[in-house]
Amino acid sequence: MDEILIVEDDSTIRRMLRVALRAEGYRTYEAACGVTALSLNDANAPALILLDLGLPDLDGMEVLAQIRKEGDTPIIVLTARTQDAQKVAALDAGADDYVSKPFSMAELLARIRVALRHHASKTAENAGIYSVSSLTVNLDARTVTLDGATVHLTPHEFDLLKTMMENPGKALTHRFLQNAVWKYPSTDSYRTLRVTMASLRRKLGDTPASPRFIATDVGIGYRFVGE
Amino acid sequence: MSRTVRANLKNAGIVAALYVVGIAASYGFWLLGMESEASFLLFVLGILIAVIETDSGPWGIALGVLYLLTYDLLFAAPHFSLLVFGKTDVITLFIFAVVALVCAALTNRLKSQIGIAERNATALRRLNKISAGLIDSTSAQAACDSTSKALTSILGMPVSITLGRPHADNPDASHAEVEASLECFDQGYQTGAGIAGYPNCKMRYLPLAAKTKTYGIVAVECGERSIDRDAKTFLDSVIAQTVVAVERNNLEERARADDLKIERERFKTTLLRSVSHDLRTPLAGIQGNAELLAKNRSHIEPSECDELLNSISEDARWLSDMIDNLLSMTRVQDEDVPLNFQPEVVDDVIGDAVAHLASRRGEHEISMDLPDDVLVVPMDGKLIRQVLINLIDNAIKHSAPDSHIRVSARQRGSFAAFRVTDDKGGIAPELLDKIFGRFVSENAGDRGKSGIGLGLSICKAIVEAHGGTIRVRNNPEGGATFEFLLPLTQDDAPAPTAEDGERDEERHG
Repeated sequence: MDEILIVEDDSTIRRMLRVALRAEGYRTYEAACGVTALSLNDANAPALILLDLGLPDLDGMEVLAQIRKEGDTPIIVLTARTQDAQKVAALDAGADDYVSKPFSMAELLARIRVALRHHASKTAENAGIYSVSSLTVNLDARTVTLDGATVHLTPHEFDLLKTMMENPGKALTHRFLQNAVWKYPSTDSYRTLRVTMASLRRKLGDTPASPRFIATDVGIGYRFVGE
Repeated sequence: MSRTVRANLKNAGIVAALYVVGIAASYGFWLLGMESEASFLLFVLGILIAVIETDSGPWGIALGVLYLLTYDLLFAAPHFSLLVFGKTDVITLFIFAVVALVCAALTNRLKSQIGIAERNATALRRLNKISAGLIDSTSAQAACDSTSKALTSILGMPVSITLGRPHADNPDASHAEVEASLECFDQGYQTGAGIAGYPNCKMRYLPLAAKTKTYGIVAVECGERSIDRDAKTFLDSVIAQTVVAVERNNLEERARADDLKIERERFKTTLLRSVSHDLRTPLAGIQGNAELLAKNRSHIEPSECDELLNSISEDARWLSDMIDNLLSMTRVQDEDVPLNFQPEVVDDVIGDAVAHLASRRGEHEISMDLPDDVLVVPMDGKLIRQVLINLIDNAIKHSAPDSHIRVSARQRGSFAAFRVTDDKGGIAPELLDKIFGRFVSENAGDRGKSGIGLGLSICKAIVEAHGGTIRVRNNPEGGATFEFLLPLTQDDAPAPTAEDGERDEERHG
């Protein structure tokens, strides 16, 4: 079973995570500070890391950067609810997802499953074609079909969908999507990005409250939730 | 130049007219056989009038010469020949000249006195006007603005008044100007153009100062011109008045800030008291249930165990929501941190809010009615999401358990109108007016529902911080509708009143 490294300085939450994750069948390592976290990561190469950003010794962002330098192990950051800027910074620095404290354990476990699954499938992607339930994207022909019918997308909408599908389950910040699709920094506070995203969603028939494909995190960005 | 010519022409005209009248009268006297004294007295009168009217001695003298020559030529024997001036003529001419000059001097003195009186009156009028402007001013800056505007038009030179120490690194001003302005502020005396020792200054700087404190400086852009004594006196009295106005406004501003602070402190205290009361109840539940489970687990039925556990997580979630609301309230109340306005698509914000509540909607059906065109509204997305969550949560808690909750958004003129409507339940009429008031709780005894007043008053605070309005009404067909409007452009446009919205009822409905 997968090994998960828990980096969290609060012993109550650490214990809770350990109990919950072991009950799900994961093996866990625990670090209460950044230095231990880095050495445990080196020694054990865990399948996933839960990283609390408020650590006593090192800056959580620094730990995140170090881990990213050494590999693409999925990282889910645990942050305080108020710190949106920190979440965005962590995602931009390479974190795969975030969970705000206080979090529901069911939600955290779901996020862990998604991150592990997508990390495993990343290497084995089907050449030239993304397919999720009834949505199929042909990268070479640049065509999209939904429930068998062709969906006409603008070039930016297509690139946006392609970028989202390349990073399934990951929380993608506005900046990441802007760079991936437009290749230049936004000059309009991501207005164009948001409008393009809204239009893409409408074409995919996605309802914003229970999306089949694209979910919104207001203040953070979007994530592709198609299974 | 043309004005001088015109004045001379006018004076010549006056002299000519007086000349004609004088000679004509003198001719009449001569016909009547009267003595020359009558004519000469008349000539003196003519000279007096000429001097007063033309405002100058020489014109009077000229008229006197003309009178005398004509009189000699026409009326004195032998007629039609200019006699060599006799003694009498010389003395007459001398008297004429003296009369003209004395009269001119008198007129001039009178005129200058009138001029002074008029100038004083004008200055007084201007001072009064300026002080009226100062009395009406509501801030120190406004007082300075109104004074500088008035001074600019009165002095005919650009005048600017700056409060506080001038910037040492003003890129628009030369080094000499900056030095002079700083010296004026720091030392409290006038510097700059027209004062010895400031050769490279085009501006005169006067301190805007009371006895002990300098509030700023008055810069007069006099350029090549100088500020004369009258202007300086006038400036000084205006500056004195401005200082008084600045001091008064500063005091008022401080008093207002104090009031606001007191009000905010009072609010915080009330909030704290209300919150600690509200927090204690779910905490007691969590503590009690957890201890119960820890000690007596073996004696409790598994189904009851589940209930206790559910109740713990329910209470915890309630606490978590409460903290979200408190944090939002802090965000809105903290004037130092501006709201994070972003162009958000309403679909995203409404969708996120509804998704957040999906797990606790119970029997309620929640539907969304979104605009056909993508509607982008500048807002702090997190806070508006919080407003929607509170409104939907309120509908879940307070409408009938099986009510249908609809969340909609539409563009309405220059505003985006958001609505959260339910179709069963409604709000007690006596609560409608004060439902957004602080800490109004519909049913304080029921812990599951406590704290709602905080939620709605936070909605109001957030919407108003966006420059919008919020209102609530009971639907004629049942249930209640909460509606809030957000401006589509973030400027100071006033929100329309609730009545304006009624006309769009059908379209939105």
